[in-house]
Amino acid sequence: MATIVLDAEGGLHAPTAAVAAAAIVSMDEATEAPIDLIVIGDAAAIDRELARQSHNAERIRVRPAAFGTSVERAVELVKAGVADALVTAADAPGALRSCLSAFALIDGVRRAPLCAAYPALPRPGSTEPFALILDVGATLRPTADDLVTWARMGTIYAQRVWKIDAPTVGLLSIGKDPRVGPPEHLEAHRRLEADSSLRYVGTVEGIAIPRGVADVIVCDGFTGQVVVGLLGGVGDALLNMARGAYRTRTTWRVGLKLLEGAVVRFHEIVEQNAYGGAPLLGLDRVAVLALPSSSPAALASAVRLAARASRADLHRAMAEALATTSVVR
Amino acid sequence: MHIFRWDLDKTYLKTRFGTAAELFRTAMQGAHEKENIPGTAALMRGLRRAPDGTENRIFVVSGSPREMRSVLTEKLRLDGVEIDGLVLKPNLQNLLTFRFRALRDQLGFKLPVLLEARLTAEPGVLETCFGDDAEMDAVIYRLYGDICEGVVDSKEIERIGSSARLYPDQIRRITTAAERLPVGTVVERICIHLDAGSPTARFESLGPKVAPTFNTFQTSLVLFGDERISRQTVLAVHDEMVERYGYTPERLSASLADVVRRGLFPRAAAMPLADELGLRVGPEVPARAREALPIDYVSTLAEVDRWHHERKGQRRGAGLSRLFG
Repeated sequence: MATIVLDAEGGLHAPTAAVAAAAIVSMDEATEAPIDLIVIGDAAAIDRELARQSHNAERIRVRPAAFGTSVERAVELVKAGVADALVTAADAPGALRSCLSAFALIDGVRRAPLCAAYPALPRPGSTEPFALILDVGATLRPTADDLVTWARMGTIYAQRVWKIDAPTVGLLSIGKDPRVGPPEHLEAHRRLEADSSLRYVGTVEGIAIPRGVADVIVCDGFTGQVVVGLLGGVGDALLNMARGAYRTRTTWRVGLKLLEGAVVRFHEIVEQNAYGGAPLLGLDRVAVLALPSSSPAALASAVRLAARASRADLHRAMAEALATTSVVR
Repeated sequence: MHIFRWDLDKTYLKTRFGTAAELFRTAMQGAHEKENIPGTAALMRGLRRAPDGTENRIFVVSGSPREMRSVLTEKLRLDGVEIDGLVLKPNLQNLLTFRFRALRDQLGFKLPVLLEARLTAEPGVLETCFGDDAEMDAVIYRLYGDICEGVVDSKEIERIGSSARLYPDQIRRITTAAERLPVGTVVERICIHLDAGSPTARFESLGPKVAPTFNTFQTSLVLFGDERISRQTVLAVHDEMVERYGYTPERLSASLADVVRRGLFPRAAAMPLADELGLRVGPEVPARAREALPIDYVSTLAEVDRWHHERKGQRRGAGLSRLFG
């Protein structure tokens, strides 16, 4: 069982989106272990929203928090061990600040990266239809040390959460030529190539992410955030084009109807994972940050992700792996 | 004395008949194969004797077919539950007389049965009714209470019956019984087990007597608050849910806190009980006041139908028309 604290005040659609997400998760048929939720924020508003949702009250606890303090209270609950992980759709800088000031960095991690999962073609040895990208906005100018550490952390994430035995790692760049790029990238590339604990596939271009060239893509936070925004936008654009086609011509509608299962699945992947939340790795606790515009389905996905990460004992596994892996210089 | 009127499927028993296979499986199950909603057996056993020691009455009105009488009676016997009456639906008769609407309809079956049963009850005895959200139990029980109180007259019954497409003889049975009943308060509480996951707000318009609950522990708390069951019965329900069904203190704490926040169980009564059971009530949140307002049954029944229709659509999942329509 995992207990996840969900910040009801964060996000553009607060508290509706968070409460609806809690309601969705509370009704999940327990495929793994069940998830207990603590929804934190304006308790009266949470109750009002909850009453409008199909939910299971056995799995939801409501905690009041004064206006503007819900993230801090959520962080406190995780730090105190009342909850295993937190999910918030609050503005990323504020949420990051709260997490980084309360949780400790794992030994060997200098900067905690945010990571995001994006749809990618299946790869040998992996059933996950996603690639992991890190960092997506926490550190704008990482050092080579940071990039190498993140590659190891991404590998452990893919092993523990996605159950991929030997995940492949790529360094995001503008081409396959490893001699092109800023100095810290060149240095990181050299060290990743020499690191026998990783399955490094070399530098990869943006186009390679959806092609599934690597399970883990490492990049600086600035580039990562641009990539994430672009991929999310492409997914939305494709769905909007399909929606337009569906409404325009009967023959196109029939065609889409024949592909219904695939289109619905595509929508699920784009909605739940493009906006499903980014785990903040490298801390001694699990925190998942979602976009402020997250829908209930996306937040529900973030909660499930937080539960998986906490069940996988991710931070402990990372601490152990980083402590035992020799640093190649 | 107090009267408890129970439904069985999805209220006392965990029943699934969403598909033909589930329906067939349910019909073929033996008494020992029938599963309880966790805690219902302990609760029903505890209803027999009131906290003041007087004996209560328990009647069951169920939409299960009459052919299942022996199985259901045996199941109740296995659970150690003693009842005073069991009325089941004449589905075979409905089928043979081509009354197909009556096969699914609950209003035309339950309402006349409840009113006719009330004719045999001592005047002034109050009732607690149990149902679920899978059909329209809450509306039926509220209508039953309103008819007993004289709020709904024969003309209105005919209007409601016609709009719900009841058969003329069903409407006649309802109006006949209603006209013979002494006017007075009958229904004290309506406990609705949220089997279909209905939002609790759906029941707000039905007034404060309706208590939608997520599990039997919550139901027992509501009844304890109404002083209809003893503390021992609440503890027995709690123990049964923990020992037989694996309920954790977290789930039960969340249930207790929820029922307090919704104003269905007083906080003052919850605190000592929580201490005794090792549960937490949670922080104080002002419960919303609910009023008993008159309702338009025709539109309420239509609303219930619409909700069930939408829910079926949701269960089918997101199709293209839902995504793009």
